[in-house]
This record gives sequence, structure tokens and C-alpha cells, in this order.
Amino acid sequence: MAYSKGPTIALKYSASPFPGNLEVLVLRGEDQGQSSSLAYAVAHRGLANVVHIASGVCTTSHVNFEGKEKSRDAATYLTQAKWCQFQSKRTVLVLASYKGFKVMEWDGSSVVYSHDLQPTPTPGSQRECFARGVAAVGNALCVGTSEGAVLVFQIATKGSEVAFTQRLEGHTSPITCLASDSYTGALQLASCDEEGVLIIWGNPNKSTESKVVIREMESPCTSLCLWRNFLIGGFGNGLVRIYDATNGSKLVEIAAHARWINSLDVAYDAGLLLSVSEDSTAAVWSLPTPTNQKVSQLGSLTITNKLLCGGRFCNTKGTRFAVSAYDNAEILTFRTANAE
Amino acid sequence: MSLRTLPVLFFTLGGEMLYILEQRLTAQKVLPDRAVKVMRDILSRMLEERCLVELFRPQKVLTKRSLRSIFEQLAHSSIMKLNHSAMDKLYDLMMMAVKYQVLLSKSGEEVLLVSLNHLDTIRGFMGNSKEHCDMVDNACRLFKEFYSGVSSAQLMLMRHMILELFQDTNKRVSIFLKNKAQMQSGHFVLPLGGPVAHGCEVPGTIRYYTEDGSYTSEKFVVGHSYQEAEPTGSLEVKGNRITTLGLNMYATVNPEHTTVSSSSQNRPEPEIAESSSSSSQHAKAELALLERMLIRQQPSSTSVEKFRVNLFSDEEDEEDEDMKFVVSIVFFSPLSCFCF
Repeated sequence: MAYSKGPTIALKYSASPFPGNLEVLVLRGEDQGQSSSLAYAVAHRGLANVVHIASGVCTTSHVNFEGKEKSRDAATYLTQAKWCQFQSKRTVLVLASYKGFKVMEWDGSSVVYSHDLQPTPTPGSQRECFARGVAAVGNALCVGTSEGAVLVFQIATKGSEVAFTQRLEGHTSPITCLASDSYTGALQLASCDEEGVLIIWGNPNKSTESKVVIREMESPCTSLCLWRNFLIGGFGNGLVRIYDATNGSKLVEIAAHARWINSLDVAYDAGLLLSVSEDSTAAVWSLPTPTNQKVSQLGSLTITNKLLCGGRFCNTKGTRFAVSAYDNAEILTFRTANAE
Repeated sequence: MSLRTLPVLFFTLGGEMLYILEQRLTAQKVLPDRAVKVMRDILSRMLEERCLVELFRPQKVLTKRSLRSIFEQLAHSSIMKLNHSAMDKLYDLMMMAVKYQVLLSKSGEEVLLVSLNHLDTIRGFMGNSKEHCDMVDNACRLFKEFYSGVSSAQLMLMRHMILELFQDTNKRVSIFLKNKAQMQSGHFVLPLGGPVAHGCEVPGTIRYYTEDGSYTSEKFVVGHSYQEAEPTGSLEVKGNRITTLGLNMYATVNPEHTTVSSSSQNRPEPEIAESSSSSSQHAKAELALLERMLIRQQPSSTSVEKFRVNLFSDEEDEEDEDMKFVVSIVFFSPLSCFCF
């Protein structure tokens, strides 16, 4: 599968360097005849660039975490800007920061809910409490914290009713990423942290018990995907690991990158995995299937002089993907020859 | 967020300032004992007890403006007087050098070694003054203690926060341009291949695991030539840092290669406004920290000797965008101690 360079999308503000700094939202047309449109979100300090592309028209805006103007306070800097699509078909934009998190309408037009995280006073501890890791499971919004907890909230179909349901305890170090299978709507949550512990929770609406705990421990797990029966983790030591999501057993380990992996994504229908790393490469892999248990590298692109911080497929067939790079105010896209 | 950025920023930026100053004093053939006195005076202020107490406290990252104030005061504290334009250029050079070193560091651990490279080189500037060398040793010891036990993920977060601080600062530096380390856009060239990051494996292997933990391997083709990671650098007071980032890049270059200019792409820094009360509280906290850290020195004598030293080259064949400016170095000392 050969990928070549596609259109470059300009951003108003450059991308911040943290892992997972690119999100894509596929907006399905409301009527049968309407084609879908794409939106991209890339965080820059305390705001998210939002680009919406529909019928060839590109609209660029930005959403501040706090206030109307760009803030200089590092506490408002974002750790994540991610869209969540719920079972009720509602879509919201969640901005997680070093202060807490905010839930907004999908286009950032208004704030639905705001949650401040106060540091838990611990003698001798200097850790502040921040939000990082966001996932939608059913109609629940799950947000990770630097204390290692996952906070679960129920989101109403419309309006600003957001109710805190419970707190999942299992990690003892800051959460780095949350993953769910929102494509099929399966009620399963996975989380990972800075120590390299991965947990599969099952349905966070029902139970607080962790189902499977995996301890890799020698390197942080920076990104996570759930696809079919697999849990896929990307690590700071450049390894990609594929586990059986029912029992946590390690199935495949790929020495994929020479440096920190910043992002993983799955093209659901095609069974493709995208890995993006600080080594300036974006690689596409085929995942195991019932008929073929092998993993193959289908393509590897070096994007010169770019510290890649985010990567996402733009469709479920995996024929297009996009990446973001630190200090660059653009999203680079790539496509196969037969991409629509 | 990372509460551990300040010591790294202080020693790397401060180190770069001393490198530039030392090179200019040598190039301008300032008498060696005067040149050493300039360096020792600044170092004494940098490593004064009161300053170190403030430095080695976990705290939020400072703004670029606050950091500039610290170094402006340090530069002015003993014998230097820089006009606004000279300080701007000096600070730009310092920032771009540190941005380069932190960007090219493959991990947060390497950033710590870069800081120690600065301290090692500064120790070398002190000549045979045991008092000043001991101050540097003390700083190294405190630095090691401050960062001991901090996880890889937290160190990488620190690295990301420093990169975020210097985001959109893309001044062209002649020494980087000449060495092909920087492009005309101001962005740095990122090397490909070479040793993998510490803790990483050379890419190219896929391992398939069975239930008992044994595995079979397959290879895949990797686009670049990678080698095993370098040995771990030492964080001891004296030791082999392994990385060459952070060593004095001005030591072997011509004076005219210490020029800095705006990049060819004009990306205006977006408007920043202090609108919320929390950000003004943050600003007050920063000013209070600066008050405690910055050193006030009263001149101890009545006699003054002045002479002019060019901090940056004023060669006529330089590019148009290079600027010329002049530094007055003022010595405060009894006349009898100094002879021309």
C-alpha cells in the first residue's frame, strides 16, 4: 500500500509537542444524499485549532480552554483536544488541560460542562492534578487524571446535564491515554499510564472492577487502541504491542520505532494500524485477522524535519491519514492511489 | 504539568549566555584576568545560595519574558551593561540554542545530561579558582538530587513543556545555518538514523508470542540505518555525559557566526492577553519569584573604567538582516588593582 503526499491543511496556530495531538472527526451527512465532512483538532498551548472541511470548503477556527483571549497561564495548556461520539448520537469536543477539563459542543461554539481538578493535598507531594485521556463509552464520558483515576460521567442527549457517576481506581501513576471501541459501540474501556500499566475495564457504566491488568513497566504506554478482540499499545521505547483484550496475553510485539511513539490509530474496516513517532516516521501495519495472524508493515513514511506528535486515519478504510508536527502550523495528509 | 523545568532552563540558558560572552571576550582580546573576572562575577550571582534555593523548588514553568528578566539582571549584575537591542539578540541566541538542544535530545534524560554539559563547560571557564569550581560542583549535586527518582515519562513531559515554551520562536542563527542544522524557515533539521533513544530497540523485528511466553521473530525492512542506543550518561558531579548536545558550539567558530536574525517566514506570535484573575495571580507569583531570585549588587568602589566590546560581529560583508550593536563593559574596582 503506497501512500503519497496529499493536501496540506493550514492551521492558525502551531501544534504543541505532546503525544496524541491530532484528532479527526468524521461527520456523517444528515440526509442520505449528503456526503460526510471531516473536522480536525490540533492543540496549541491553551487552545485547540479546529478545521472543518465540507464539500471542498475549509473553515478554520480555534477554541480557547479559558476566556475569550489566548491565555499565558500554563495551567490552561491542553493535554488533549478530542471529539467524543456517544451512543445517543451526540458529539462533543472535550478539552483536557492542567486545570481540569471542559466539554463543549462539537464545533466549540459553547461550553456544556466544566470540571476543575483540585490537587489532593498529600504531605511532601508536589504533584498537581491534571486531566489527560478522554474516551466515550456508550453514553459515558471517561476522563483520566494525573492521580491515576478515571472519572466517569453520564452525558445527556441534549443540553448541559453531565452527571458524575464514579471513579475507577487501578492506576497509581498519571493516566496517559484512554481508549474505547466507539466505532462499534462496544461497552469497553481501556486505560494506560506513565509506568506502563494497561487496564481493560469492561463497561465503566456498570462496574468499577478492572478486568485485566497488564504490567509492562519498563516504559510508559503513550497511546492505546481497542479493535475487535485486540488491545494495542504504543510505548515510549518505540515498541507496539498487541494483546488479547479478553485476557491480556501478549500476542505480538513490534520494534516499530527508534524513539517515543506519540500516536496510534486504527482504520476499523480495513484492520490497519497507524503508528507515529518522534523519529519522524509514520508507519502503517496490517493487524491480525482470524485467517491471517501475521502483522505486516504496509508502508513507512519519513516526514523529514518534523517531530510528529499526532496521527489519525481519515476514514475506516485507511486510504487516507493525517499527521501533525511540533512547531508546525499545518496538518499533512497522505493517501493511497485509490483513495476517494 | 511538569514542575521541574526551571533548573534545566536556568543552566542551559545561563550556560549559553556564558558561552557567547566568553567567545566575545576572547575574540576582542580582552585581558585574560579581566575576562575571567567577568565570567566569575556572573557565575557567583547565578549560583548564589538564595538563587539556588528558589531554583530547586518544584514550580510551574516561567514565561519567556520572566526568564529574560532573570538573565538580563544576571548580565547586568556585575559589570555588563547591555542595551535593549543587544539583550534581545543575546536572548534570542540563547533560546534558539537551548531549543535546538532540547529538540534533538531523544529523551528527557538526555536533556538533563545537556544541562550538565553546560555546567561542566562553565566549570572550565573558572580557571584555577577553587571557590568557583566548588560552586559549580555544588550546583551539579543539587541538580542530580532534584531530578533523582523522576520517571522517564515525567522527564519527557518536562522536555515537551520546554519545547512548548519555545514554540514559534524561530530566529535564524548563522552558526546553525552554516552547519546545515537549521533551515531558512528557522526550523531545525532533525537527523535520521543513528543510535536509537535510550531504552529503545533497533527497529525491524516482529515477535509472535505463544502462551508459555516463548516467541518467534520475523524481520521487516527499515528505511534508515539505526544502531544500538548509546551508553547511559552520568548524572554525577563529574562524569561522562555521552551526549555532545550542550557543549560549547562557539569554541571553534569564527566570531561572525554568532549572529541571529528573524526567519524568512513571518509567523506573528498571536496576541496574548491577561484577562482572567487566575492569570494575573500567576503573573504576581512570577514577579515575586523574580524578586527573590534576582540579585542586586551595589558597586563597591568609586572609580570606574570603561571600554567598549562588540558583543556581536559588525563585519561589513554580513547579511543585511544582521544587526550591529555595542556593549559597554563597566568595571567597578579600585584603580590600583587594574593595570592596562
